[in-house]
Amino acid sequence: MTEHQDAVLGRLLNAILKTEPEEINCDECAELLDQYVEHSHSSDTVPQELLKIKAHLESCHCCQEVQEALEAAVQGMQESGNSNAS
Amino acid sequence: MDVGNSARANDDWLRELRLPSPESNSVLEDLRLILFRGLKFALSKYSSISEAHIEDFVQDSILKITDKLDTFQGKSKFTTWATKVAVHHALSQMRRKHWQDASYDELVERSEFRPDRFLADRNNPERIANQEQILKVLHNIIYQDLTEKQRESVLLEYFHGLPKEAILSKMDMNRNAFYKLIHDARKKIKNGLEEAGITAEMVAGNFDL
Repeated sequence: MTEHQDAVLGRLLNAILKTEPEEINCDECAELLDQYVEHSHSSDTVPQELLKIKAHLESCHCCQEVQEALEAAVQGMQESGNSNAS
Repeated sequence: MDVGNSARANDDWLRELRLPSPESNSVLEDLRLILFRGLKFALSKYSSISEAHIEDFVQDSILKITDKLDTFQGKSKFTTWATKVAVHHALSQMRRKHWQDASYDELVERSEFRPDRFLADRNNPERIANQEQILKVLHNIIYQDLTEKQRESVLLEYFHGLPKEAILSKMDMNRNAFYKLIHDARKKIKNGLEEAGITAEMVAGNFDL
């Protein structure tokens, strides 16, 4: 099995194993993603409401790609001091 | 790049962005600079994306953001929310462009699931036998239990990694309907594996998950 095939199969099997009876959809994930990313960059405990994003991200590579990019943006902006204080 | 008055509170962003010109000009310029910098960080791993592309994404995003100000709930920083809108827009555009010329039928064909391709080449006959058994059941569920649409979606999503935008335009679905289709398929596969006596531990253990 090649590395690519390994990754492809692993992604499918992981998604199957982590499937929950009820999951949020892409729009609901997108709605909460900014809050989720901010919490992941703080020392605060992630609220229960935001934890449901995790299951979605593990099975949706498009939303996961947005999350990773937003994480990179938030981290970069925090480090360069360009985030607003609210 | 120095961002002007970037230390606004959320309410200040909303108030200033709702002002008519020329008062809103400076806030738009500040927002442009923040989004530009944010997208540079966000898209830094995509080597084909130039500053000109980023500038285009930023301009489009500013229109989207100002159009949907009323949907901002104030549960995060305004800049994080605005950057989320910009990141989402940029990645959607990039995926559309990347896949716009791909032949959907060819991709479906190339996404066929053949268990023999996935057997690990290890000197462990018992492990190979377990993998074969799991993959055979998985194959049967995918090809016998899933509906045609569910099967097509699972193969394109997981075996080909085709982005949703490309699948959705071909299948004429919105992304929530597509997610439900995939979610129902995953539930069916998970139940099918359990009914065949294949536990999550067996799958994880035999495929190093």
